Amino acid sequence: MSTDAVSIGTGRKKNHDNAGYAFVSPAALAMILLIIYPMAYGFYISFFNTNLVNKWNFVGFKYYLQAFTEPDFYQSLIRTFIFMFFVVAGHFFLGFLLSNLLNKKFFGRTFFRVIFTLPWLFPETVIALLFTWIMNPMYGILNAILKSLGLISSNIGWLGSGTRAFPAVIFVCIWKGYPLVMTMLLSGMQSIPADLYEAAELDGATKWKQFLHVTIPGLRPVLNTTLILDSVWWFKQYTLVYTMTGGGPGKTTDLISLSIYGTAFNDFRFGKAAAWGIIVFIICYLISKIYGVVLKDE
Amino acid sequence: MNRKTLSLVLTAAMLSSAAAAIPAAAEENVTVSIMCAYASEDPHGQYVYQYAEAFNAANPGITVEIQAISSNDIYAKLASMATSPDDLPTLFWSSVDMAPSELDIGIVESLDEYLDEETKASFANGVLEGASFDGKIAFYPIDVQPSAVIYRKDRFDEAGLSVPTTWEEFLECARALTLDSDGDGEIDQWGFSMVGSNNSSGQSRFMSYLWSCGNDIVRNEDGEWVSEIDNDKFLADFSFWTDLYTVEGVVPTSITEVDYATAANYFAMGYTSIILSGSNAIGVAYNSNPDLKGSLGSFVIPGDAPGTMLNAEGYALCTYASDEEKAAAVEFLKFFSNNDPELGLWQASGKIPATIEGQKAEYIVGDDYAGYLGTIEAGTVPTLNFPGFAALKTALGDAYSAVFAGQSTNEEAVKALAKEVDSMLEDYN
Repeated sequence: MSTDAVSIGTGRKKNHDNAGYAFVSPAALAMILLIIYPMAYGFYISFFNTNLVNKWNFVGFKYYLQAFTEPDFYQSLIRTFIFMFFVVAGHFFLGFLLSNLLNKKFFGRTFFRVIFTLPWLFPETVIALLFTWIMNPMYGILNAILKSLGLISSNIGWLGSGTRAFPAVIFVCIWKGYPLVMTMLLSGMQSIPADLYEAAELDGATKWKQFLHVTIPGLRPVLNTTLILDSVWWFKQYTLVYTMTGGGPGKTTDLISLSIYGTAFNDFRFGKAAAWGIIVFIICYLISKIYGVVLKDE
Repeated sequence: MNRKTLSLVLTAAMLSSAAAAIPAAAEENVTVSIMCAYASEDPHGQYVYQYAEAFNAANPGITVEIQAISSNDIYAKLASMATSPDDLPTLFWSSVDMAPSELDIGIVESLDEYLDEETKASFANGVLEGASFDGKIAFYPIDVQPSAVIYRKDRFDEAGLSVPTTWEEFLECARALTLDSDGDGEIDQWGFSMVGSNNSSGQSRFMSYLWSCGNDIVRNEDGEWVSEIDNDKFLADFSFWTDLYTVEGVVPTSITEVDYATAANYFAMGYTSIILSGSNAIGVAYNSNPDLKGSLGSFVIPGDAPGTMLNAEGYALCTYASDEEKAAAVEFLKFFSNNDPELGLWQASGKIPATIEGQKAEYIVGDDYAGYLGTIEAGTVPTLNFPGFAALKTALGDAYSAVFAGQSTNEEAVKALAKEVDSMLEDYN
């Protein structure tokens, strides 16, 4: 090959490279502006005691150290993990149960599929207000029903009690979020070939064994994605809990997202809130990595 | 004339007419943008728009534009806008709670040089001081909202109670008014409509109570803010308040769910007989239950010390506005205060006007407003120029809420509060 041919080939490759960069540049630019820059800025301000305008006192790693030495942050973090665990577990329990039922053939199946998807379609604020009224201690319908059934003798404060508010909020979050898991699992189940179930049946597998050895392995890729999405989504949950309880009573429902928002926009301690936000970002990233390893599709 | 020449002539004509119009427009039109919390509230928000329209009609060349926003969101919005100050409004709603934080981020223009002596003299006694920080007027006062205690005169008379002057007497009244009114064995009427939610409304009332007991909470000592929380007196006063729910049961059930709107509604509907509030609760009570007219009275917060700041509210002038905008904005503020002889905004909201003339209005001379006027006359807590005011309130709310929820004892809550306030003061000193 002559030298000219080599240089012409290199020139074409360069042109191709440039075209590639040109095509990805709008998406890359959008990512830099909307994701990388805000995160980098958040990381930057986490080293300052700042009001974001005219006070920029450098404090180094003070807020990161405080996060692990002062109880506010880690207690809120533990509370958030417990919340996430029960909510995600509830979603998967209901999701499996309902997707199994809705995967069977029966009259009115489409109608029930729509009905069971409804909670996901309502805005979170609407659901939160709805349940706040249902659980109102003075004129809520829940207390009225329980009283009429003779299960309670006087009105109960569901969201105002240190012991009942957390389970009540978890219940509402399960109710709101299970349709996503149900839909994902249902679509996963529909993609498992019927031959596999027939073969398992011929081999004498019971329904439970078919579920364990055919359904679950067949759903593994969907499970992996759904688990990561659902966990991260509910780990950073804000709207429902804030609207229902504002993090209270006391700190019983004060999830980490509420703590961070309150620190930034109620207390105006933006540096401290940014440091907490960075730690939460790392935790969310680790959650997805851990799930990826544990549920690796072999 | 060919088409090319014609297009050149027309282009030149358009450019010259535009160039001539620009300075004229700049000279004549000044826009005053106002970020306003009154405008977002019912039933009085409508008056802000009416006043703006009336001013625009009377002042060609000035356009007042109202941006309604909730008072809870206004500071966060201003703080984020302050990072690109060209977008800041000319005026923004402010209050004695928020002004220290707004001053801290440098967006408040002192009004001293913009107000003539006549205007300054038009404000009622103590009002300008209540809107001033470090001797400078931080915002133009529109109304004052001191706290006082509103009560059901008819129920007090029926139970043979007299107006309490100490918190112990207050507790006796609350006990006497907590009862099972229908005889079904369940308490259905409580003495005190406490706002127990952990939000600004609940926190402010708790702060008023603490002040009335003589607690400073934080104070400035030689330029440094110090805490006055970790002591026996504070613990005793803190416990008295939380005991109203946990021990005495004189406040409604599930108290952490009772925010201001709920508490005012309970009071209006007769579930409770006493409420600690600004005078706007009187407006709410009459709107919800017109039968209450003539049955309400108010009295000064019990305790040895003043239990409330004057709580002036109004509009602050933005430092980043142009001179023309500032001058036009001040003209609008004077108009706002004085153009409505019916005092529609104040009367509908139940707020007390900031001016001497306004405080002579007929709607505030009865028993229902007597406690508020008495509070103004007796003197209030000086304005607290602490930039971490909002954070301090949050910490107080977290503390009482933890006790109400059964998460902490009073001792544990006060200890945690003292630690939190110390950490906060590190950031603000």
